[in-house]
Amino acid sequence: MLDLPTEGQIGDRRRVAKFVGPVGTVGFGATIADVRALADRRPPVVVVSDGNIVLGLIEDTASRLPGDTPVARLMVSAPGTIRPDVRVDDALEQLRRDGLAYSLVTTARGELLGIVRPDEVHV
Amino acid sequence: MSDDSVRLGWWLSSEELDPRRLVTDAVRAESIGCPTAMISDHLRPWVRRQGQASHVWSVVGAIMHATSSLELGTGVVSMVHRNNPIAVAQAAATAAVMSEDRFFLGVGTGERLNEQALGERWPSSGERLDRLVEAVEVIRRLWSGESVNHRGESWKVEKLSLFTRPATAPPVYVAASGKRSAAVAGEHGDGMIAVAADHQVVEVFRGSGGTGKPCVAQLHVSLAGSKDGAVDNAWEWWPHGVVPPTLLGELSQPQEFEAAASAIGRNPITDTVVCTTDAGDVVAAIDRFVAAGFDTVYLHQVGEDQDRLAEMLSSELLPHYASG
Repeated sequence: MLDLPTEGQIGDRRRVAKFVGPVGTVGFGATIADVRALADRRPPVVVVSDGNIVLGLIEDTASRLPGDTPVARLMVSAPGTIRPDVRVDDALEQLRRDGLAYSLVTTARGELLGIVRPDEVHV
Repeated sequence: MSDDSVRLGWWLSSEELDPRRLVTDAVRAESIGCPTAMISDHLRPWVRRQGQASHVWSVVGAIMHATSSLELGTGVVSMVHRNNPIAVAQAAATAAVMSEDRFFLGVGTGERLNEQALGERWPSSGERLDRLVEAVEVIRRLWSGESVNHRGESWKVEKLSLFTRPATAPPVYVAASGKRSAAVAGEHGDGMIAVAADHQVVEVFRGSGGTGKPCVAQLHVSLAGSKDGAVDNAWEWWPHGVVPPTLLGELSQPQEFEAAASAIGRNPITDTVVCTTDAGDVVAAIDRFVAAGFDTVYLHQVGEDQDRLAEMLSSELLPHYASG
C-alpha cells in the first residue's frame, strides 16, 4: 500500500536476491518440443503453473527425448529451493557443501524468481 | 541443452548367463543397433538360481574380439580385496587396446558378496570409497606410462610401468548411490553410473565437477508374455531386487540374499524391476532417467529370455528414441 520495498529488495547486497539469474520455464502442459524452442535452454528448465509456481524441473538431457513427450510425465517434482532474503554467503556455503551447481529461488509461496549459480556469484 | 539422442545400452549379466551366451548377446546387441553395453563383475551370483559368475576380463576380451563397433564397460569392478589397482589397470589397458578404444572402466565400492571369500575384514562404505579414490589415482598414473612408486593408505606399487597401453587412456566411470559417492564420481571420474533416477545424485555429480560428463544408468526390466509372467520371472531370477539397497553391499552369501528376499516377500519387486509386456512402460521408465539427467540407459532383462529384450529394442525402443 505504501509501496515500500520488502526484505531483500534493496540495501543489503549480501542477500541472494541480488544474485538471482534468469532460468527457462515451460508450462505444465508443455512437451519436449516446447523445451527445445526456448531461447534460454541452459539447464535446468523449470516447469511452472499459470501462477508461476514451481512444479518441477527437467535436466538438459530431456531435450534428447522425442518432441511429443509431455514434460508433466517425466519432470522431477518438488525441487529444492531457497528464499531471496537468505544471506548469499550462507547459501553459497550450503550449496558448495552439498556439491550443488545451482538452486532455484522462490518466494515463500513457491513463485519462481530465478536461479542462483555459485559459479556466477562473486561477493 | 544437448540435442544428441538418448543412448540405449544392453546390460550383460555375468551372474545370470553363461559366458558364451554373454558374448552372443553382445554380438546381437551390436547387430540390432545398440551403441553400448555394460557387463557385471561377480565372484558369485546374488542368489543360487542365477547360477553363473564368470571372470569378467576373460569375457570382455572375447566380446571385444567378436564385435567391431560396440562400446563396452564394466559395471562395475571394485577394488577392495579381490581386485587391486595394478591388476585392474593392466586388464583395462589391455581391453582398451584390443577394442581400439571402445572400452570404459566402470568402478565401484563393491559388495561383501564378492569379497568375503578372501577372509578379510569388510570395510565400511566410507573406507571403501577412500580405497576406490586412491585406486583410481594409481590406475591413471599407470595408464600414463610413468614408472609408479606409490605407498598410500590402501595400496602399494613398487616401481612399475605398464607396457601394453592404449594411446588414449579409457574413461573411468564411478558408480554412485548417494551424495558422497556422486561427489567422488564428479571429482575423480570421467562419468557416473547409477541405478536410480535420482536427480539429487545427478545434481551433486555435476556440482562436484561432473558437468558435461556422461551420466549412465542401469534399468532392470522383466519382459514376458503376460504381466503375471513378468513378475514371476523377476521373482525367480532377481528376488534380491526387494532387498533394501543398504543391505545389498553387506550380505556375504547367496543364501542370505535368498532368506532376506523371502522374508520381505515378492510384492515390492515391481518397485525395482519394470515387469511388463508393453514397451510403453519401459519408455516411461527410461524417460524418468533422462529427465533426471542421464544420457544413457542400460536395459537389463532379468533372467534367461534375452530374445524379448532384443525384439523390443529393435522393433520399438531404438526406433522410438531415434525419432527425436
